[in-house]
Amino acid sequence: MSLRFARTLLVASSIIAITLIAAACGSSNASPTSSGGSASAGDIVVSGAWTRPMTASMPGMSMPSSSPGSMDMGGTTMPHGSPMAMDMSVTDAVYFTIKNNGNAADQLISASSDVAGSTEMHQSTLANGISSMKPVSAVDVPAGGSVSFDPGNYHVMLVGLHRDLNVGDHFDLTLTFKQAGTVKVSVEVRPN
Amino acid sequence: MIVIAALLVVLAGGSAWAAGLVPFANRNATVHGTTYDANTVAPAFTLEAAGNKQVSLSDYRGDVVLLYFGYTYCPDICPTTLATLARAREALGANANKVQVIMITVDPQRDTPDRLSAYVQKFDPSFIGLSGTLDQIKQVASGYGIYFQAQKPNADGGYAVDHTAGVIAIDGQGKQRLLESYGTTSDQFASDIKTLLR
Repeated sequence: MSLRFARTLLVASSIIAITLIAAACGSSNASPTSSGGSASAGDIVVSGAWTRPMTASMPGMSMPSSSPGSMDMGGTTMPHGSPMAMDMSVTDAVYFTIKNNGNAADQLISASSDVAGSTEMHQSTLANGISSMKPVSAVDVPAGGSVSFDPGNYHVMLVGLHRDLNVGDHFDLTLTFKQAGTVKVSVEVRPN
Repeated sequence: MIVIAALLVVLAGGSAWAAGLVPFANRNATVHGTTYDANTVAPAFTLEAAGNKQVSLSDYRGDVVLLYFGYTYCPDICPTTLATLARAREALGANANKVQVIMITVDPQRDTPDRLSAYVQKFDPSFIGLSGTLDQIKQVASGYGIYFQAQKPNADGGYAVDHTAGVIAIDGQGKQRLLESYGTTSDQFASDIKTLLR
């Protein structure tokens, strides 16, 4: 192989790598920062709140009228006629970043929004390729640190949407912190 | 990111110097997902789609099928995956119509075919959702090595379902080719789909 050919190859591969860097940086810049404003209370700043579009009305579940007193659901037994039987709710997840500019730790202890029947804090986990989700009662925000609510990790789950969430819509989410109190943040609806 | 990119420079440049090959000429090396053994036949299934329609895997012979097991009450992992698959289809341009995304519910108790359909079509109108009896779903899932288990319901009767989070890619000949783990990007999906379409 001639030196000149080798040099051409090296230049070509470098260009590919630089293109990859540019592409990667482009995509990482695109998502979290575009949802506009931030809101704060005390030392806590919440920014970049977003959720995916979702329709509030979906065809409900069918509950076989002939079903016996309990039903097997992959190992979990549900009593027949439980509130779940009437539940036609649609869920969605809200993501954002919390920054604590103070010298003392704080805790996010609850979330609420009038777009949904209830609002819960959850954490998704992945172990051996299996995803699981569990409710969390509080999320620590360390002094001088930040916590990201991101897909695949912490999220605020909206349960039972009262209205459709369409791309471009905004709605309020109120986050309550143990020390800083409440922060009302505007959530942007966007695909990702 | 910079470290990875730097590594790419070293790898691409190094292999080009050593072998005299254009970087990435080895197509197998570019596949992101985990490959199954060659000639692994994707297990056949027939399940229920919206409008009392029966859908079989064999209906999509010739297309790349991306098979995902999830449920509509899943607010985080499932929509993230479906949104990624929708973006992957966008990235494929004219090849998008050779890709069929199928979500099979792991929550047949709550996910009717109609509900599933309304849900997946929020992400891409071409997506289809399939349901069936719990026994049918269990059989299909185990054939693909997919685990799922409903958690205990909370006080309101709601419950989450633990499930394998990966996406299975089936090629046009009905071979089970790749398992794409959660976190695979739309560009990685698009690249792997292009490889399977060759």
